[in-house]
Amino acid sequence: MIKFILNNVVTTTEKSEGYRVLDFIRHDLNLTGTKESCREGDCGACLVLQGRLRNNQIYYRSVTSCLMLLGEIADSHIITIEGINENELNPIQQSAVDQNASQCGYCTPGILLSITGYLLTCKDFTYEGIIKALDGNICRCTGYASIKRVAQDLVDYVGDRVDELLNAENRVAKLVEWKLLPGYMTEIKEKLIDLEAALPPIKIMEGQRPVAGGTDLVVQRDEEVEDYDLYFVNRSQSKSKIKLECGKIYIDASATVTDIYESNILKAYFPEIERKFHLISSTPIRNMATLAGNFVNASPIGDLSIFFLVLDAELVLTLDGEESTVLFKDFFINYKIIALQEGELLKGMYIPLPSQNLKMNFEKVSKREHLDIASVNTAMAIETEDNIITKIELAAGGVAAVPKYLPAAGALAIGKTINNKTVYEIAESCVKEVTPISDMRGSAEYKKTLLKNLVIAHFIELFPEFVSAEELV
Amino acid sequence: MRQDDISLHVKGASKFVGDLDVPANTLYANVLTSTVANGIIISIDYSAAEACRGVHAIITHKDIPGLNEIGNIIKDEELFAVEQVHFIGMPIAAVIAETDAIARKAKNLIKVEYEELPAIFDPREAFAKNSLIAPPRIFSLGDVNAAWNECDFVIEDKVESGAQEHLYLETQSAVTIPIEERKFKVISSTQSPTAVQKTIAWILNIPMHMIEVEVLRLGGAFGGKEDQATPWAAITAVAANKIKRPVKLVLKRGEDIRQTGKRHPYSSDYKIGLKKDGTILGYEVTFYQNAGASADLSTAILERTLFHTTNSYFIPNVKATAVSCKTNLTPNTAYRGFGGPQAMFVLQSAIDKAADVTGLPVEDIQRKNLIKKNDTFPYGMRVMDNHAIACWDRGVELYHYGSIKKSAEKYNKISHYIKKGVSIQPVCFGISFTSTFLNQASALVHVYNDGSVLISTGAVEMGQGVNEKIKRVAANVFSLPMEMIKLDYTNTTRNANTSPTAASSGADMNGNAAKLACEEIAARLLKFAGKKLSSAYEDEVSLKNGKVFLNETETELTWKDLILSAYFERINLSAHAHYSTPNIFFDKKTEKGNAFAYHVTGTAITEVTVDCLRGTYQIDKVSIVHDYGVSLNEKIDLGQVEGALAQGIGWMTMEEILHNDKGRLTTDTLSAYKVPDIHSAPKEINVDFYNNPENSAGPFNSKAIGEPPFMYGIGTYFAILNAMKSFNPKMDFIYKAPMTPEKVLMSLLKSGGEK
Repeated sequence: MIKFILNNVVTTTEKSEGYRVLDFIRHDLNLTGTKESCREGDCGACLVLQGRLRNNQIYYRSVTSCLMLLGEIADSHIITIEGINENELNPIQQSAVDQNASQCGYCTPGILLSITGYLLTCKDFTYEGIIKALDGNICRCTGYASIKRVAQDLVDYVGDRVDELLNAENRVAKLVEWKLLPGYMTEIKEKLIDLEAALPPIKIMEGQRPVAGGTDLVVQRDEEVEDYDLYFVNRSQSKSKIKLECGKIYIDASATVTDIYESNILKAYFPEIERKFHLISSTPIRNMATLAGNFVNASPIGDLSIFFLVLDAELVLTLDGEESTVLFKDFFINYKIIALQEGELLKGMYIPLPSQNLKMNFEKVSKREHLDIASVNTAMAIETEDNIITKIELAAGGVAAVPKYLPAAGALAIGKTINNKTVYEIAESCVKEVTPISDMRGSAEYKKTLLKNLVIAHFIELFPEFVSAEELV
Repeated sequence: MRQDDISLHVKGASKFVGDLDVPANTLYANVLTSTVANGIIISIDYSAAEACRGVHAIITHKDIPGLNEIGNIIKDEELFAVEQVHFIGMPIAAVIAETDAIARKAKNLIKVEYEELPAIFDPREAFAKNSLIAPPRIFSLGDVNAAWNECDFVIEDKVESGAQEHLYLETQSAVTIPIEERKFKVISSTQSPTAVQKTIAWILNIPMHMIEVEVLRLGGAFGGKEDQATPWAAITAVAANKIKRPVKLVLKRGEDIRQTGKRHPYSSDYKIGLKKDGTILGYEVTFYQNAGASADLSTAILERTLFHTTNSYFIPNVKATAVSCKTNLTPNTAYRGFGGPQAMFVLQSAIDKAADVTGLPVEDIQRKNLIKKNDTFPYGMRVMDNHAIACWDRGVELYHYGSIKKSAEKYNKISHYIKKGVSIQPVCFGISFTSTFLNQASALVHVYNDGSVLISTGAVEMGQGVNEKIKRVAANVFSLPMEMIKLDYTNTTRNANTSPTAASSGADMNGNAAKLACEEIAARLLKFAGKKLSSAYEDEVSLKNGKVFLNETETELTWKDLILSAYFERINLSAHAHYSTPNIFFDKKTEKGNAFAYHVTGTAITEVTVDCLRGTYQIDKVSIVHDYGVSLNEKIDLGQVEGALAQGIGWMTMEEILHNDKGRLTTDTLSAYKVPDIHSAPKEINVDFYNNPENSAGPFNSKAIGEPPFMYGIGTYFAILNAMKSFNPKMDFIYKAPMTPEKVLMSLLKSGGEK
């Protein structure tokens, strides 16, 4: 039996853990404000909010209910559009009406929930932040201009009370006070505490399939997933997913992309994360997708894989309680074949603390800048002394059967001075190491050209004083 | 509390077909479709599917009592394939089961054997093999052959534009409920309730009066539910007729993308001739339209391509040939702009190239050749006003085009690989269905005896705001607050023989019909009020703000009192009215006529930034002057301009439909087919409404707005190209849309010299 709170009602179901939350909401509960449109997390029409208890606080996040299985929402709070309705329209809903920000109306519930989710989670409150929170919502009617006006209305509504919102001891209560959330929301925490106490501990059983976010698994196994016996990695999560440990950074396998994106530890050592992780899928998908899911799925274009391949990372694996390690560079063997035995689980990842003079750059080009799969992505980590390369790590996705670590280019570069010639040689060398195929994300020729240019871009971004775009481009 | 659509939308309370409560005995359909692009069906093994628990029936062409036909203009498309399949995604059968999931699983167990036949996917190949939907058509003006001799420059090239998926967020869906024996109620997500009704009538071999089609609203349509909502509704009707139970069908996204048509891809050849000063003297063009496997609306779309061959420009000598080519792709269909965008893209490409060849600034060529009052369109209609020039000049002045261009040039001198680009895109779009008979609409208006007003028209609400506009019309006539008026769902029993809500004409025609009906009721009420207020003349009485006025003075008589007493006096408080657009005609023999009630014009200035190292771009600003007459609702019109622009930009930039060499669509998911998101839409959109009160064809001098702004998106293509030229002036550019980042990067590298 799965127990959770849906809006203000404690709900139980005997449905399979692999049953889609979207289907449950729409078909079993007949709450039709949550819409189905793409069923693969790419449009946000089915977006809902999920709240989980962590350290006696509820943390909310936006998620796409089409990719979410019932097992993932056990013991949590789910908010659908019906759950933000009160007798009068709230200020965001009213603004959407006033700005005519809903035309056909099909995307509207998801959009309003994304904005509400932002209010619940934001660490800063800005117009730009609201817009970014809408990166997982497709609207085919408005061209987004009127939706942007709603964002501006909300900024105006909050006005000079931003600090009051951000520093509120109880954010939910503050939002209820400001009529941005319905009154019942203040009672959810107590209900959730009662709910969690009732839960037995969960361990992986033989024959179970682990799900770590499931944002790709559910798409790939659309029809079968309901019948699987599933083990939800998120439910046995460790307390802190990202921590400093023996001079290394440890990232738990169940850490979501959002956990990584928002981690103060990672932010301090790898500022590139804060600069570029907005390019990785969308807010709701980042809220669900995990490190383990991204690595084990072994997509040749996985953004996280490419990013961490250049950081000397080491993976911790467990099999029957025994732990072992493997260098991340050696993890990807061939297309969708990885260094993981039957029954073995990815537990986490260690990254050595970077040296003071490490510089890093991540590049990704896709048809659409956000919420798209790259044509080519690439990362470079580089250390120099007096402008001489002492260490360089390069990786690229979309150009081989696996997320491609590129050792040859690195070997060639060590000891060389950074100048146009060196950069050009490294870029050319990278292209020689890859074997892209032509597909809907671009021709093989394009991907090679793009990789070359993106490697050049790494140097233009990191060493503008030593290389000349005029000559390289 | 407001009960209009938007107030429901923001609460998640508005219902679409998939959200409706259906009777408990409803069954679900899933459609088996062809997996080969052209082939003879050798055998079909249904046994495994039939054996599935929960499967009630499998319906095929054998279950059709009437015609197995869904072609509207040309009868050339089977609902279910009989012997041969003509495209991947063509329906063969439908599994009817207890649940949607069972139907889908059972469908996957059906085995079909085909004898594959050679297939054609390219329109030019189809043309060469004489595989045509209809004979070619030619529009001409002047003598293009004589014109070339007078030209200082004659330029020829080829231009291609791609398909576009509608991506209405609500997929195709319908439910048919058998009422009694052969009487059916169909709830369909369609722009054409009458087409659904008529088609089901001939398929089931019953009169149209046995079928009631209702449409609540559509979760987007954009033309994709004009003709192509029909087969899905028809399948539920055939199943309901056979099984005598309600049957529902809601396509999954992948099914919808694979099984429905797109905007037509075009491949075109042109020849353009200019004088030294930039005057365009001649334009010859041949459009090869990729229609797909059957006609659908292709011939009508092709006709509009011909109508918009010269867009906002006057060219004295024109010859435009248009060919609808039959290929083995999913039949392509209506999409916002309806063939107009394809024509305008070709001409803009020609002018862009002409600017390069002549060395003249492109905007000088454009401005010089804009249409003026009394110029002639190639189809013989006269230009009625100078709005095209007015919008252009206003845009250039208001948005400071000169300084935009200068600052881009200045920026590009300093910046090496990040380049700014600008363009101006004028648009002139004709309003009316080009098939004259479709230009009619009707409305039924009831005033209930509590004073509330209910209006039902042939128009379907799909987010374009037609209900609000019609409400405004009624509110104006009755001088009532909007809250007193409600638009009912669209239903074929309330209005018969309706035209599709398409061609941007929904609010014009249905608004005019509603206006006539309201005026009829108002006239009766005024006459009655005149009597009641002891005034001899009804023209001394008027309705204002919910009150009756006598000689411009407010009386005690309120709207509600008036209605109630009129009811007791047995005054008819309902009216039905019919509207047909006056003064339009077109002769297909001569290809001349007054095809449109009027034209909508405007101009868009687009500013972009292109990263020539990565091949990526962003759209910084689009500034528009748009001629909307006198708006019935400025927020709705603004939303239509902004939304159409974004769709047009999508078509020109990132939206790319790809097939493999077997004709299978490879971009059949939202992870592969990208449409603009909040980040890729223009950072800033400015819309200046060019207000003018001259249009008598729109209710209260308003103008149609659905389609014209789509074509402002073409400007984005040329703004990106403009930036690219600044990086590589020697680029050997192929005019092909969409302008994906791949197209940008690979084009930049293509030139005579290495760059």
